[in-house]
Amino acid sequence: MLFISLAEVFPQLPGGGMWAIVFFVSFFFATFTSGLGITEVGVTTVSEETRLSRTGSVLAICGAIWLFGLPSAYSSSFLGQMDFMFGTFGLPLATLSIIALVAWKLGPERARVIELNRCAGIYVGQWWNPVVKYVIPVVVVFIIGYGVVSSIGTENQTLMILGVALMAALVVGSTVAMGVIENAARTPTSEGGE
Amino acid sequence: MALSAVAWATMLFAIVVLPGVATVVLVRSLRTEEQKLTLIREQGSIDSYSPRALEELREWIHANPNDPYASEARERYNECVQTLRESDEPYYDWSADQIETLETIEE
Repeated sequence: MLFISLAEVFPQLPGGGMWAIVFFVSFFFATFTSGLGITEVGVTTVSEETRLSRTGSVLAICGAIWLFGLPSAYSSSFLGQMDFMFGTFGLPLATLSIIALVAWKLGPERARVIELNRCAGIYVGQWWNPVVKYVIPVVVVFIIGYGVVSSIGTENQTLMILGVALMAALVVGSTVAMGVIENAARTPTSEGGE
Repeated sequence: MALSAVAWATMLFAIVVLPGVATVVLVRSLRTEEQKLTLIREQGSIDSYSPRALEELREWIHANPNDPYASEARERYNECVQTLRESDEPYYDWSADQIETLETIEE
């Protein structure tokens, strides 16, 4: 829609060229800054959990993203399938994982007073606690559930089953991998110092 | 294709709300980060909690002395108090009287 339909609509508007520039520049910055934020999660994890330097972690993560993106660059059909699976189930599941860690394992009040308000530009009050603990999980579960239910009986049903299975496999695989890396990095005397 | 007044108003509103707000937030963030960097260069460190946030941290530590993260919280609290005592210019809105009354928390 963005690069085909809208690209045809803008020339028909008065001052269409200007609107197109404003829109696509805004779109570029929106996607670029989101991309930086999403990449940073992987870079920080690799940098902290492995012996790679920050530069090495950035190169490793960006290289992996580039490799995983190659099939989508060659096939628009594959891009559509991956977009459906990761966009409908992957992103909400990633959000749910972060919420499970911060709001349910660590605890929202503990995370807020120790970490969130540390060197913060804006003070975050107690209203944040029920939002991350209850509101966001309900919304995310609804999004995942809606994706599943609205796919049943349609041409996307197989993709939906594959997507849910792939995301479940990724969660289990990532948890096992992090457990192995953590056990390998842990020395007998470092337990109490963590 | 002529656009209606409502369409023009909507487009202008969208431009003000989306890139406009993003620009204001970006400029504000860059300014505050620059201010932090300047203070770190001049003083070596900056206070890490605002008065309200540090007060909440103190209350949480007293309410949860045996929490697994209590020692880390105490460390951060004391670090902030120490920095405030040693700094000429705090980053957050601390008054001299407020800093004077602060005490570190012992285990």
